[in-house]
Amino acid sequence: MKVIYPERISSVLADEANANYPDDNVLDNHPKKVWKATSKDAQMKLTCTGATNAVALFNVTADKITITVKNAAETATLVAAQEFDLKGTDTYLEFIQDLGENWTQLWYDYGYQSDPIVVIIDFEAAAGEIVEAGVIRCGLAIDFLDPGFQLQEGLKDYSIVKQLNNGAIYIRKRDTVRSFAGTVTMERDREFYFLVRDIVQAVGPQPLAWRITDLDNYDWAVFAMADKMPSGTHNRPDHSDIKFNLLEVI
Amino acid sequence: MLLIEMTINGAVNYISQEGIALTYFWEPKIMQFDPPRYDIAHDYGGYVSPRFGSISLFPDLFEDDWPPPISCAITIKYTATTEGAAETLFTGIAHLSQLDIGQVKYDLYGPSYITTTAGATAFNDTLVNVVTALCGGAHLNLTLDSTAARGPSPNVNFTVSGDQLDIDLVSAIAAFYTHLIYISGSTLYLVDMLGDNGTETITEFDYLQGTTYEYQTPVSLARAGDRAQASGYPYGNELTLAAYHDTGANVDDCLDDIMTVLHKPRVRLKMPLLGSLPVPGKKISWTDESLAVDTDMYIRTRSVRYDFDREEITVEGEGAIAAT
Repeated sequence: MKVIYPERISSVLADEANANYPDDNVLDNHPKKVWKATSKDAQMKLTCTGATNAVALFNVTADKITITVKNAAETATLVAAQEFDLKGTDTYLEFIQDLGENWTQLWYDYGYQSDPIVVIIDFEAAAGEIVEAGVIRCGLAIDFLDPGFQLQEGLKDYSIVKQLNNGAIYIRKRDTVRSFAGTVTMERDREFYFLVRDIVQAVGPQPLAWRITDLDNYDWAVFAMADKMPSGTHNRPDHSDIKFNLLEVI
Repeated sequence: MLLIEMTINGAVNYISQEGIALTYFWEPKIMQFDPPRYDIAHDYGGYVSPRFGSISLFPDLFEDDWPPPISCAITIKYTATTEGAAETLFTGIAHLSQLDIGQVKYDLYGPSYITTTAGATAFNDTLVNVVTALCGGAHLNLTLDSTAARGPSPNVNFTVSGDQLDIDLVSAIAAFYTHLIYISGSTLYLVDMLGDNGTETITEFDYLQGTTYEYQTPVSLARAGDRAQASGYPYGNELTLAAYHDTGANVDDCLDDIMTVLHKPRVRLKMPLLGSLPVPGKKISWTDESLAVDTDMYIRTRSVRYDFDREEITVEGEGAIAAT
């Protein structure tokens, strides 16, 4: 499990933007408040200060994303262009083909960079679509052990449901978000207190970029708040179990 | 979807109850919004006036404008689809009323109509022409739309007693002649209470449980000036009104029309917030199959309550109930 903290983006610059959806929108805490490009191809540069090793994007509209890491002056390529396919087509089962919507989030661990960098993100959407991105975070992804087998994932729905006069149901579909809950075993003095005291206690319910497991599937990346403050059990000499509850924000 | 344009220190802020990405991003900054409503002055007619309470906003809306300004221009709209299709519900001023750790609360004030008509002013013309005169530049300064007024327009003949607010005077005259008025933008609409201002037919998939059908206590006798008209009910309430005509037969006709409206069943119809919002006078028809016998209904919209927090609209008015 990983969380990007601290966040290290000092500025963003897109090569195109809808005037009502500026590029700075990716820096706030609202994935629905997107940056909108004006075409199906767009580029955004993230200027980062301090050490970083990961970038995460949420509520993205794009089929393909290419990420390149350069030095602050953009004169040297530190990490070669890496291409990511977000189309989400998945045939891992013989009789079920996941043809759902594109992945809308992406997490990329590009390796530790100690100096300020520029992350260059090239977006490419399908013909007729407009590139969008809701939240982008770049910083130090702190690595913890993955949650135990009892990891729970669910959905929280904000739709309005009412009963009509004839018993039928009126539904106004609104956002449905993901929730995760689980337990992670951590080395107490270093990891446990770092997560509880230095991160969650510092940010409170403000959302952070999380990667729930280290599996490659982008479904594990979520921009989420602590729905309930974490609590731990110091049941071993040097290790503790910590329970977390994360709720995706909109 | 509720869309609110709020001008804070010269900059227009686009806010709503939920983040809505349309032409603009309408930021989720509304914490609570008292259900605004339009209420008719009398059940038989008069001014359908807006009553907007207060709006509570998340304090971070004012992070760059702290402390929140005392007053802001505000426009409240509703749309089920796009900004282009949004209907304006209210344009006015938000005045700061409360500030605490969790909210910034503003009271809403609409336009005021404080022009007057001098005492001893005499009117002897059709209702449409009298209302046209009171909408003139020296008075309400509004454009009259009488498309849905009664035709031919009834005659009005009276002399104003003492100075009166124009809006109150128009409301009282219109009510006496069983008309309602409402104001949208710079237009005053005069609508016959016995006619329709648009029609709509809904199905049982369009309204919610909780619709009620009520009959009011009947009026046994209605008086105006030196005239009195008995209804078919020997019991009930008596009604006393000011007369806006000096001819007995004209007054009698007005009193009969008023009692006709008052004796109709009143319905409180709850609907999801969908599509266009009903204007006063709009006839809404439906069949209720949840009653003991399938029943045809219609009402004409008189009062409207918008509950944006619960996504409900309650329309109230008189109408008719009949077995299918």
